[in-house]
Amino acid sequence: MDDPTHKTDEIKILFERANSFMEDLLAENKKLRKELGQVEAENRTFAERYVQIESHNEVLQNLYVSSHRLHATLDPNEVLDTIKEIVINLVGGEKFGIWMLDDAESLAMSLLAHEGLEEGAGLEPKEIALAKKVLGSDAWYGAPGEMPLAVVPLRVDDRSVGLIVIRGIFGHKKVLGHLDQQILGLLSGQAATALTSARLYAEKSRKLETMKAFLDFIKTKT
Amino acid sequence: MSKEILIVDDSQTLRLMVKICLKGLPYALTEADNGASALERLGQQTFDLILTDLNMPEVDGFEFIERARKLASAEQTPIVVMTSREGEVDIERAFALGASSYVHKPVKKEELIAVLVRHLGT
Repeated sequence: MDDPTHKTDEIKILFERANSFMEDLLAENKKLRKELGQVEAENRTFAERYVQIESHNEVLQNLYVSSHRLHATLDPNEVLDTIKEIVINLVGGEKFGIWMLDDAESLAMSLLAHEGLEEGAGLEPKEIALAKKVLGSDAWYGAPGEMPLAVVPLRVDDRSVGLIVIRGIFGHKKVLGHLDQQILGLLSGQAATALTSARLYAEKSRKLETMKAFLDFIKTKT
Repeated sequence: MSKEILIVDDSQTLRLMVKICLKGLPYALTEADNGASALERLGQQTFDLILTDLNMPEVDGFEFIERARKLASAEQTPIVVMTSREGEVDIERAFALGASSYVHKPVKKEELIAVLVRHLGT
């Protein structure tokens, strides 16, 4: 016959073992949960980093396209068209103008190219005030819903020679974001230079043609 | 094997942008700077997908879609419209003429690739 005391002890030992096993399992579970949390946090960091890199790539890609296109031609009209294309296709500008400074003292400007504005449109009073501010410093960006949305100086070296004023963007875009500001920053530094180079080249070519014609004329006379 | 894509847009900037977006992916891009030259290309070759602007000189995007759908080479080809216009009227008109879907301008790489994968499966 089995000894009941012995049986109870055996059951007690079994319970203790089970209890200890359960505690081990709980500890392991806790450890695994902690590790899982760490892996998940790591994944989140990687995902965030991936998004950052993708966004950085997008900035670089857009800057590359803008820069490449700006310097792809020496025809002043094509350079102007390119500036417009960049503002439309890469920034999403719907209503904007490119004004060039005729006289730095009086801030007289003429509209060189535009999209969605009336021919010969001038700057609004608020834009003139902003123009005075940005011609000597960096671009100005309005808060969402503010008009204009952006006033960007166009520079050759350290001299401002004009402005891009954006009054409207495509409806599905809410604001000018970081990427847009980067592209406009590039335009600020390079658009006027590309335009000035193209104008100088066109002028030189014209003069060269005149001189050639003149020399040919002299040759035929002598 | 690369999927053949025809991009129709008068903006060289946008075409270059799309080209760079798709660099390294299994897509071969053929460019056309207006609807008329795109229709000419469709007379010579078939494409797996067509990306088109709406606002173009001469033959605009709407006319291009309408005429492309009458060609045997583009009858079933997915046509994705790249539009800066938010107005649903334009998008609805493009769909009525045979467009398959659209992406917003400025074109975002993610959005563009998603639409290509949806239509081409790669």
